[in-house]
Amino acid sequence: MCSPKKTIFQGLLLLLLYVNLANAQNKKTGQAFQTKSFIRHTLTNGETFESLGSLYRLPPETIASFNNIENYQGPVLAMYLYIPLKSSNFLKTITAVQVNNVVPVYHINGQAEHLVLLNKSKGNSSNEGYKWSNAPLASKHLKNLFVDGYLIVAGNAINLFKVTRVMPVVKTIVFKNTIPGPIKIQSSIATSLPATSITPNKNLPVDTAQKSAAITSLVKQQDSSLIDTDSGKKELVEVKPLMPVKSLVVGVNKPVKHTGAALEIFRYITVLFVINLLMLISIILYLRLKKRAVLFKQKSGNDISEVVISALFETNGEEGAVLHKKLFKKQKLSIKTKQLVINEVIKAKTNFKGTASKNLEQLYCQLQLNEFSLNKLSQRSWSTIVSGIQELSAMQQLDHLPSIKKLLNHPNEYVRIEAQCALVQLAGYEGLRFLDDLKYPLTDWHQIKLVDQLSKLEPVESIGFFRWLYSANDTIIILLLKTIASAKSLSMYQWVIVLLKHNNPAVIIEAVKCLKEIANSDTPALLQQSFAHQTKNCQLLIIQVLGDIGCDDQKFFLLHQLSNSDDAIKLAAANALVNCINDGFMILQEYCYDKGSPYTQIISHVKEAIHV
Amino acid sequence: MIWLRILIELLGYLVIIYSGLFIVFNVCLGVVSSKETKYYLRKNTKADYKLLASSPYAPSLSIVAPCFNEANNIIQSVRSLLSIYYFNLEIIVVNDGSTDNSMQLLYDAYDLQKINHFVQGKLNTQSIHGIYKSVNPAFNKLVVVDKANGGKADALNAGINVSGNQFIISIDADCILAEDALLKIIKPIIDETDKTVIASGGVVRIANSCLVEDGKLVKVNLPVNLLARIQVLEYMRAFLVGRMAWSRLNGLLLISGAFGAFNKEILINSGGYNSETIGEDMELVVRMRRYMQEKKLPYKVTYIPDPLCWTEAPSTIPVLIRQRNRWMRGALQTLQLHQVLCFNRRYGLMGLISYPYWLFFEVGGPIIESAGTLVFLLGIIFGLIKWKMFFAILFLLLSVGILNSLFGIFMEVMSYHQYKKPSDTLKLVLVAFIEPFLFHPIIVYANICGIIDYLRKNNDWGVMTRSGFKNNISLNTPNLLYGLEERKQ
Repeated sequence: MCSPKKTIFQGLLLLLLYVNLANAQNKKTGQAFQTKSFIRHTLTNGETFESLGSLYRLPPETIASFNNIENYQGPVLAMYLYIPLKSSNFLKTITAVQVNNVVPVYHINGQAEHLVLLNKSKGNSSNEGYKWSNAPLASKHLKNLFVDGYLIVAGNAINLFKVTRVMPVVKTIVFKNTIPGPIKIQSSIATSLPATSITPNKNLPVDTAQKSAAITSLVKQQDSSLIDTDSGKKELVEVKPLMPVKSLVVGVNKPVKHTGAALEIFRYITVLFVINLLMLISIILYLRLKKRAVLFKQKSGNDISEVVISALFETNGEEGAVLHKKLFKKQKLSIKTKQLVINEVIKAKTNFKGTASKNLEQLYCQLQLNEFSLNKLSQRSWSTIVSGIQELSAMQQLDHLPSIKKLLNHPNEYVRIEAQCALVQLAGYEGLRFLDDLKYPLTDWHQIKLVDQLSKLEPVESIGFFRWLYSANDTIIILLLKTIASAKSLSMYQWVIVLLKHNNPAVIIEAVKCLKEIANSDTPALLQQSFAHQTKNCQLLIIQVLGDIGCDDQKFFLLHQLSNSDDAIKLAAANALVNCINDGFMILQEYCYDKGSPYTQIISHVKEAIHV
Repeated sequence: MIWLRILIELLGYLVIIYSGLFIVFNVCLGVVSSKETKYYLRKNTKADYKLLASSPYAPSLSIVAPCFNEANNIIQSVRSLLSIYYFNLEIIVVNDGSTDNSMQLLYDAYDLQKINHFVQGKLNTQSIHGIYKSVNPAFNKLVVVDKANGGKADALNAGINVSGNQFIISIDADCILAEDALLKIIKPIIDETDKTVIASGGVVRIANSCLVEDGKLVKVNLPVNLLARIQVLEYMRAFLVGRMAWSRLNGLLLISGAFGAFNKEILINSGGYNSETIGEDMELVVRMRRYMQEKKLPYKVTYIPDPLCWTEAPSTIPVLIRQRNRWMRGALQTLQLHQVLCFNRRYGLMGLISYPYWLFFEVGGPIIESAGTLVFLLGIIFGLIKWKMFFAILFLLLSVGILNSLFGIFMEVMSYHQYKKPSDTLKLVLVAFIEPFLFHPIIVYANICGIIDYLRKNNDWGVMTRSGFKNNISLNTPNLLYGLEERKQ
């Protein structure tokens, strides 16, 4: 017994097989479309397959099956039908007797985009019918008009002529029969056809997007269009897509333009392939260059290290000069070597102080690397300039300070920052004068760098820190507060306390931190007074600071804060109480007694902290 | 059959337009990311990060590492965290109700002692059984939180409640951090003056086959396992090309759960991690961004190309499928929760570009691909395929895919070049050519399964299997793993 799932699966497979076979059958039928031409017949009231069959000299079932219609009896429910051109209704050549019963079918060699309606010309009745063209319908093109064959019609050929359209399926139809002489277009007959548009549609579907448009607009397509001829008269011209609807949808009868789209995509693929190849080559080249750089570094590294080490411990300048010549003996220093030496020297200098450090600076100058670094300051690339500044400041090149100062207002942010840091590194606190002209905020990273540099120096208060404490640029104030805290500049106390009323909470927070470092006996009371006006974060910080610098005077304030609605402030107050008040823990326990949560947890937390 | 033909034709156009847009987006992202990476490298090559480690003015950080049944790696991972030098740092390991002996291992290895800690945080979590600190002064930065199981997001929220510092660094307990990872992830945050950096992330790399000793990455090797190797390439593309570009555009919607830094205040104000989602990392970033947009506060989400975090990638197809299934469900959940963002001008770039990009390309991609495959199969059955056109488009898309991969390799070689051997680079190039055939169909399948599971409201994390880093010996311990998986964009 098969399971239901298996049965369904097998059923589906069978169904697919059937559909596929049916489709293969359809494709066989469709083959006729690909190899034979047809005309389009616009149906009028009362027409049947029977009447059409007799009109076009074809069995009704042939017309029906050609249009994928099974039932060929009764009325035809369609706007138009395709009539196949077969030996019974289409001739390549005709005799004089047949002239009155045929409609000629025209074609312009090599240009098969438009279906052009031609009318009878005087004395040459064979020059009438439809033909395809892709060119503007100038007379010079009409000269190349050839007759493909003749449609044999029964009875009223003129009426038929008005309703049929020739739809060549394959572009490369070879036309053998020619009718010599130019074709004249007669507007009198042309205007007898319905004209609904005055713009010739020369842009037939060329790619998939246009194909889509063609599909959707096909129903609305105009039957004919007017164009200007050389004579200036308006003429009717049929404009139709090259392929019938069916082929446009599924691409069975692939039009020439479709192949063009595919070719277009293949062109893109070729371009992408080339780009891929270039990318691959770039990767390989870059790897090789990197390898070469590593090898070069290894090769030169030993010599450079030897010179740097000798410079570190040399006591005699001449001795050093001899050693340095080792580096020059083969050739003049290349840019790469110079950079390697600079990197090595700077690396060594960060680990040494005193004489060794001075020796390295001397080596840097002896090898004229300072000139190399200085030259970088005039480069266009901001990263090169930054590198130059960093090298000059690391090697304490005070002589080049003016060149660095010029870069203080460089348009690039990173050049500015490095120049400012270099100024402070080389000129110490005096270098802070750049703050007078600073137009941009200082980042936290920049501040950390500056404070680190200044923390290694003795404070010089004569430059007047206080004026920057009232700068309009808040980041300058924060930097100064950090510097004051780091240097513990007690003399700045009076200027700092004023900042507790600053309108920027970030400045106040930094001022509180700073006051912790330069506090005196008045500070806790001052902080306590300002507490009520501060943000929550600042209040939390004030309580923490009071825990470090407070005394018994803060007891009631801190006890009061234990009833604050914010748990974080309660906890901070409890911690501060225990830290700065004598018998603080006892007082806290008394206060929290029987108050339940969160006081029980707070007491446990504080007790744990004391224990730790 | 005309309707079928029209349907196939229209689907064909849809796929072509979609592919075109995708290619255009990728090219743009590639250009932007290369510029951003170059700029970052030039800016930071000579930065003295050590200064940041020792400065009292650097922001204070709390590392929160949730773990669930991480007995394989937990000791090494915590040791790795403790070896990080940073002036103002606390390390919070949250044991999320592990059923193995993770807690006991921690207790024994780090001389833990239960303490009375008043948890002030306001984020709702499962109950905390206890908070532990080490009696050994060498481990004084370590805090271990033992809590009832509630999922990764819940564990992270518990860690945030316990933390006392300005920034939260969320990491997966099984990840290996680079020594300077904290310094590098924090620098972009303090390098900004005009905007508040609400979150910062870095590149996550694959640690399979790498040599790990004492919780530190000693040697970087290209994974031996083909699946893991392909993921190396995938991560390169995703991190070095995708996220760098989004960072530059300030349109990043995702900071990896494996390693990311968050502004604690904004994180709490936004409501913390959402315990109801399985893609909590993305959901958090989107919510934080929404919060800032709605408050009309200037903000930024930064991302750096440095390889900061190393994690183990799935090395078997079932594990990989489960991982990608979960990612897809996570993304769908986030997109649904924040559907108000879609094409909403009020949310700026996030609403107009980032969200639609995720919707149409990250989520819509697998759907379109699957639909395309289905139509293709139908086309074969019904004999409707225009083979020339089909192969033309197929090769075009393959070429673009390979180009994208090669560009990722190029970016890697140009920037950090972790795989030093030339043969490794060539292997990656080879992988770029085979990936579309071997790996991509699996990913599409997993994503479709994820979509189906999401529609069926299946929110399981899925049981994962991993080997652990210990001497690269496969232990094959099944566990519910937070850390194994790294989300990509």
